[in-house]
Amino acid sequence: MTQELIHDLKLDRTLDESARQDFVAALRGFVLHDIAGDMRATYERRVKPEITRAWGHEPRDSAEVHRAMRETLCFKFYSAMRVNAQEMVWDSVRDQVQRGRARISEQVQHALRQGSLVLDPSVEVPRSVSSLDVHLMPGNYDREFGPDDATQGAFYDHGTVVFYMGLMGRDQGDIGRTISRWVRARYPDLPVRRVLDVGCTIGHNTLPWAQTFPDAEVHGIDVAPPVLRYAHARAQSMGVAVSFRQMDATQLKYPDDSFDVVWSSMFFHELPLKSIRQALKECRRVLRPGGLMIHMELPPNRALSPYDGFYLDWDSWYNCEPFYKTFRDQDERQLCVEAGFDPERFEQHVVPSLNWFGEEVFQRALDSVGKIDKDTGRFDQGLSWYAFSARK
Amino acid sequence: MTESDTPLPRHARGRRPHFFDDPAVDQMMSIVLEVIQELSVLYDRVDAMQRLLDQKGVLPSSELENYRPDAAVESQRQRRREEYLQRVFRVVRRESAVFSTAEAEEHVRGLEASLSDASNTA
Repeated sequence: MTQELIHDLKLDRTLDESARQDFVAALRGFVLHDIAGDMRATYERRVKPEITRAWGHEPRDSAEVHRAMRETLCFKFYSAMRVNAQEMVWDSVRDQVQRGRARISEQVQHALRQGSLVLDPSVEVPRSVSSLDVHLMPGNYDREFGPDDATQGAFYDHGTVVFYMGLMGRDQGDIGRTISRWVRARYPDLPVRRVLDVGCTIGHNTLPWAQTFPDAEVHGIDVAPPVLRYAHARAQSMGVAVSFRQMDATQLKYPDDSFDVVWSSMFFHELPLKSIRQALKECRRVLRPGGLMIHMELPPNRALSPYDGFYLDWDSWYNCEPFYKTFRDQDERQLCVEAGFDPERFEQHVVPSLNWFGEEVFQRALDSVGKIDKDTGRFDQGLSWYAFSARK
Repeated sequence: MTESDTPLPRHARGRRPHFFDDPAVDQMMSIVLEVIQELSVLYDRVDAMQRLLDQKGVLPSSELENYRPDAAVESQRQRRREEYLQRVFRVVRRESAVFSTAEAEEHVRGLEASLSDASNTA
């Protein structure tokens, strides 16, 4: 059954809504495992040999695999089913959120009276957010239906539970928890007193940093007020102290050298390349000398086979993430170097998900060098997270 | 109308991709998937009901066959069917919901501007 959220902002659902969400999660599992498996097999057995004969070479990159696959029936069915499953994720929680808005609004109002949420009306929501419905989520992160509105935060929280099929744990924090634990174990020399999460949305991967490093002061920033209000109320309900602020990652308002760790999850692939460059510079600027910048992301195309690149790039073409492929086509080390980091202090990480694999596999991985393969970052059998890092 | 009565949008902005030669096939695919979903929802509910009724010794399955709804039940069922059709045929209604407004045109302009930003800097 689709997991229930752990905090007090959790909305009630009817028997049918619950069944609908369970079905969508099952449908996604079926498409991502069975239908995706069929599509890969069709590529290897039929499409690749045929195309190689016709073109005189194998498809060399993600775009060429896309061209080769586009006319096949398996691609059409896979794609049509994935787009529908994505739309159905949001539709399966829409009525639940609609019904619960008044209550969410009261809880947010209450939460706004305490704690340290800082909204800044001078922050302009960039067009890469305001003009898109990323992940096909109607209203995106930023739409406001009235003053102090947090609807889109609730929509995102309840929808992503269905989307992730329970893979992230009941607090949706597996990525933040896995990577913060990884940082604690892999960088024993790093004092973690202040942590910044850039592009934090509802703070689901921010809070685990405060839990892993209980003495650290943890900040989360985002451009969109509705998700920040929700993040703030959600963190209070879970009893975790985090300072949420409205800020653009390309223009941080923190002083130089003010954080030990600057972190993000699934954030950079939503930014235009110009903003990525600027945000990396800002990450470096606010990091104190010796501090660690670490970003969880989908693995870059250069680390993947042409087919696996195509498989991940699908979201860029069809899931309203127009900047995702451009980002994944970059050399992250080069981007970090351009932002002023030392190339010798750049690292890539492949970390087994704590929620999926448990403590033992995680501990074993600490002593090994992770390898990017077709399963890295995929929501299927054996979930591992990819991250890149650099130290100032 | 209070703020929380404003209907949440059902459709994501932007062009919806189609994969089959005839876009009608893509739309049929959506409808079919929705129907499959609702069938699964219904199955879960009926299953729960039958098990509970059986467990409590309330209703022998033979009695189900002879049930006929009264007028009040029938009107509730009618309302449910109407909501059901809104859901099953959502894709057919999408075009008018998304692309008939000035906001949608503004959106497309904004999107094109963002995309050209992206390609200029790539």
